[in-house]
Order: sequence, then C-alpha cells, then structure tokens
Amino acid sequence: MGAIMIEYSHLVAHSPMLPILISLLSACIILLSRRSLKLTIIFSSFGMILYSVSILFLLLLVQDFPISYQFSAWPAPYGISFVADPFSLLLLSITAIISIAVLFYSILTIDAQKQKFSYHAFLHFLLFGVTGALLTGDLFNLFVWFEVTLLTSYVLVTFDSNSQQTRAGMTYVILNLIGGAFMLIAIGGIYATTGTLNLADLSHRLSQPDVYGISIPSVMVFFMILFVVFALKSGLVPLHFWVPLVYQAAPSPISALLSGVVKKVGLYAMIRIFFTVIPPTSISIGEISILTIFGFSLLILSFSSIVIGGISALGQNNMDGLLAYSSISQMGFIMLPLSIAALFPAVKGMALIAAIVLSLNHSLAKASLFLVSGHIKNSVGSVTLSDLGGMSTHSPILSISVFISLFSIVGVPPIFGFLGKVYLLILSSNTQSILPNFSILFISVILVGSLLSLLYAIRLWNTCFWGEVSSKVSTSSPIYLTQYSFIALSLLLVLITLGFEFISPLIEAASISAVDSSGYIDAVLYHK
Amino acid sequence: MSQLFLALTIGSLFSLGTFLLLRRDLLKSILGVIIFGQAANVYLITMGGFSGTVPVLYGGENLVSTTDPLVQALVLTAIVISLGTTSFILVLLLRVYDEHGTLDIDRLWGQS
Repeated sequence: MGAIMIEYSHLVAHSPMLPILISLLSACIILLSRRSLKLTIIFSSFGMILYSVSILFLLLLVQDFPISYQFSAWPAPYGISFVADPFSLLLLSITAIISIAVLFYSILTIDAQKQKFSYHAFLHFLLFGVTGALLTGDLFNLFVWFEVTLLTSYVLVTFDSNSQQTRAGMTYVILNLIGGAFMLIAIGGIYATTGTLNLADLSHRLSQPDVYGISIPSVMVFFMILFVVFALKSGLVPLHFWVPLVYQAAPSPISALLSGVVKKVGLYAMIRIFFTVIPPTSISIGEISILTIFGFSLLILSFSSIVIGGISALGQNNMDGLLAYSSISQMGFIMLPLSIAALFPAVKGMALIAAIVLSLNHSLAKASLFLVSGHIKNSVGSVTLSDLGGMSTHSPILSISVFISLFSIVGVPPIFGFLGKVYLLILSSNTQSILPNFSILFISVILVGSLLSLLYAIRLWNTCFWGEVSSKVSTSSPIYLTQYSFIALSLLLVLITLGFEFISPLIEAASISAVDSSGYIDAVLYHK
Repeated sequence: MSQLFLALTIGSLFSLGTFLLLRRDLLKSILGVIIFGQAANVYLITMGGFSGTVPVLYGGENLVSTTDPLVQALVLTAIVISLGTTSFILVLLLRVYDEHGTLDIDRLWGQS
C-alpha cells in the first residue's frame, strides 16, 4: 500500500507535470467511456475540475521564481525541460477559467450524439496541447505542442463537417501546415547555428555568441522566420485571413476557446522567445539588433491589424464576423506594447504589463461574446444583425453581460479593458522622451483604433440590443441555463476591475518573469 | 559533392511544393503542402551535418565520432506528426468534395 500513497513532496517535485497529465488522462478516459453520455460528461467535468485544481496548486507553489522539471531526470540542456513561471501560470489560469465556461456551455448545447462522439475528448486534448505549449522549455517541444493544439483544433473546427466548416477548415489546415513547415525550418536552423534547443541554454549561449561561435546574421534570419510563424498563429494582419473564416464556421464554444486561449499561445510564444530567450543586447549587426527588427516588423503588423481589423469589423453583417474581425484588431492592440517594448527597452516593464492586461481582458471578453453569439444562434436561430433587434427588452440579463464584455473590449471606463488602454496610452506618451514623433504616431493609431472599436461595438449594440423587438427575437424560445457561462465570464471582468489591487501583483510578477532571462536560465540550468 | 546534391534536392522539393501549392486544384495544393512539409523534414536532417558514422555507440575504448543523433530524433517526431495531419487533410478533402461537389478552388469559393 505504501507504494501507492503519493507523498506531498513527490507531488511538489512533479507539479509542473500535473496539468498535462490530468488533461491527457481525462481525454483518454473519456474516449474509453464514449458509449455513455452520462459517464462522458461526468469524467469530462471531473477532469476539468482536477485540471483547474492542479493549476491553482502550481499557482500557490510558484511565488516569484520559476520552477523547472526535467523529464525522466535527464539533466537540463539534454533532457526536455518544463518550466512553470508566473507568466505561463497566469495564462494557464485564464485557460482554465475559459475552459470551464466553455465546457459548461458545451454540455448544455452540443447534441448528445456529438458529445458522445469524442467532443469532450478533443476538448481535453486541446487543453493538453495548450498546457504543454505554455509550460515547455524546449524549442522543438514547443513545435510539437503547437501541432498537438492545432491537430485537435482542426477536428473541433470541422466538428459538424457542414459545407461552411469543411471549406474554412481546409484553409485553416493548409495555412497551418505551411506554418509548421516554416517553424521546422527555423528550428533546424537555430539548432545548427547555436547547437541547442533548450530555451534556457539557448538564451545562455546567445548572450555570449563569440564564445559559442554563433553566426549572428543566420540566427537573426531564423528568429524572424519564427516571428512570422507566431504572427500566423495569433492572426496578425497580412496572415489574418483564416481568422474570420474559422471563427464564423466553428461551433461557438470552439470559437470562444480559439480566440480566448489558442490565439494567446502565439502571443505567449512570441513573448517567451523574443523577451525571455533573446538577450536584449548581444544579438546585433552593427547598430541594428534583432529586437529592433522584431519591434519594427511587429509595429507595422499591429498598426495594420488595428486599422484593417477595425474597418472590416464595421462592414460585417453578422455577429460572428464582427467578433472575428474585432479579435484581429484587438490582437493588434495586444501586440503594440510588445513592439514598443522591443524598440524602447527603457519602458519594457510597463509595456509587458499593458500587453498582459489587454490580453487577459480580450480573452475573457471575447470568449464571453462568442458564447453569447452561440446562445443567440440557438435561441433566435440567426446571428445576422438585421434579424436581431430589441434583445435588451427581450433578454435583459444577457444584454447586461454583452454590454460589459463588449465595452470592456472597446476600453470604455470603468471596465477592465479601460485599464489596458490607459496603460497603453501612458506607455506611448512615455516614449515621448526618447523619440517625440513616434509617440504622436502611437497615440493617433491607438485613438483611431479605439474609435473604430467603439463604432463597431455601438453598431452591434444598436442593431441587436436596442430598438424594436424583431419578429425573430419575439418568437424565440428563451434558454436560461446556458446564460450562466457567459454571465460568469463578464462577472469575472467586473470582479477583476473592482479587485484590481489583488490581481495586479500577479500581473506584475508575470510581466517581470516574462523578461527575466537570468532567472529562467538559473531555474532550468542550475536549479536555483 | 553530396552536399551540393542534397542542396539541389531540397531546393527542388521546396520549389515543387510551392508550385503545386499555387494550383487551382485543391488535391494538387494539398500534395504541394505535403511535399513542402517533407522538404522541411529533409532539410532538418541535413542540419546535423554528415561527418562521422551512424549514431550507434559501441562499448569499449575505440569510440568513434558519430553524426548528430538529435536531428534524426526530431525528424522522426516531425514525420509522425505529418502522418497524422496528412491523413486528416486527405479525409477533410474527401469531405469537402462531398459537401461542395468540386475541388476547384475558384468554384469552391464562388459558391455562397
């Protein structure tokens, strides 16, 4: 019996493994229990609860410094490392919160037949991939987790296999396969030039390129290829065209998960590689460092995402399309502080806080809105803007929840999104002392982008929620229970706003650990 | 010589993949994507260099230098992943044909 007992110290030693083990195990158990709907739902919910508990456990365990885990106890640069630090844990907590809401919503709305047909298993496999990508400390391993996430998301996006989904799914799969091939090219090149794939070791070697004989121009090229791949995953503008197709075609809970969680994995990878791994100074040819190139490229991508996403969102005639384009535009807002951080290292700390706040806000609010859109699809039967109207008199609670999420995305005070926008504006004005002309450019793009978001938010609100009750809405059958999924998410937004002083240490720790290369190296290579 | 040969092979695989990818026929595009992925795999295995013998370590004193075994492990993983995605995309292709009755990209997107 003694062998089966799990001691607390073992649990602590293997803690970074817990979330991926739990999600993998629950996915497998769900696959085995597919004959019974009841069992599937019980195992799925139980697995999700265990998953959230394991993340909470990790969150309590990791205070300020990262903890690392070596698979099979192979020492650090040779074996595969897992690293849990405040930054990855913050994103994991958001993942857990959104997944709970999505699971609750799915259990109530997805057909029993489809739920039995491995829907829940794939949901947990998706969590498995996302968790792995957020915790891994190895570049090739990151590629593998990306592929795990993508493979399951292919299945979930085309889950009904109707004409719209197959067509959008095809575009999504082809684009991501090409992205995957490019990621392999970059990883192979980075391995050939630096001789390592462990992120901590990579960071260590890149800080002394002469000692390890690293050719700087080729490393820069390969990292920029990685940048393009991450931009594809997070749907920035020249690589954005899969976003509206997929988000409109996929089942609503899956769109919520994709926009709230999977997209943020691209953001996470970008921050981890370009701020944790790449040392700020040493990788440069003459005056131009890799962060300058990265910063300028990201600046152009985020500016065009903000403007093009915003304008396209204005022209949409259905709710899903509007939300999808809005998420392109918001991704631009999230990436903008990162480019400022890369260009102006003096304001790095604040820039990362702005990026993380905006990203949290967007994850919660957009997931909530996609669930609302699915709810309206189920009760009214259409999400075309002209079919909807007067929702606020017909279903007031739903409308309050939409109001909070929608205007949190726009950044209307006093909701959470406003804080993100304020940080962004303060940040832009802080670059004034470094390059005066730049800050005017930043501020004008941010204001134009916010104006566009306000316009599409008002358009959605006016046509769907105010005005005369349309015939489709008045004849629709109200559904009560599913409402709690998105009400919970928007309530959380309000709670975060009210209790920001309790959340801000977490965000601050996350932003510090995201740029703390030496802490990361110490944790992985020297187990400090 | 073998390096030149490999470089030419990888280059022609990438160009063939890109050419097929740009075709109107969805089946050809998918073949292009698959070839593109395989080209990346071949490229990846060249990244370990070709000096040394097969990476099998014999015991004893005369240990010889071997080629880097890590890239081979990486390529094996990448091949397994591409097996999964390839089979999925082929089934999806069949499904697209069932739903739309065409594999011509222009006609596929011309329908509402």
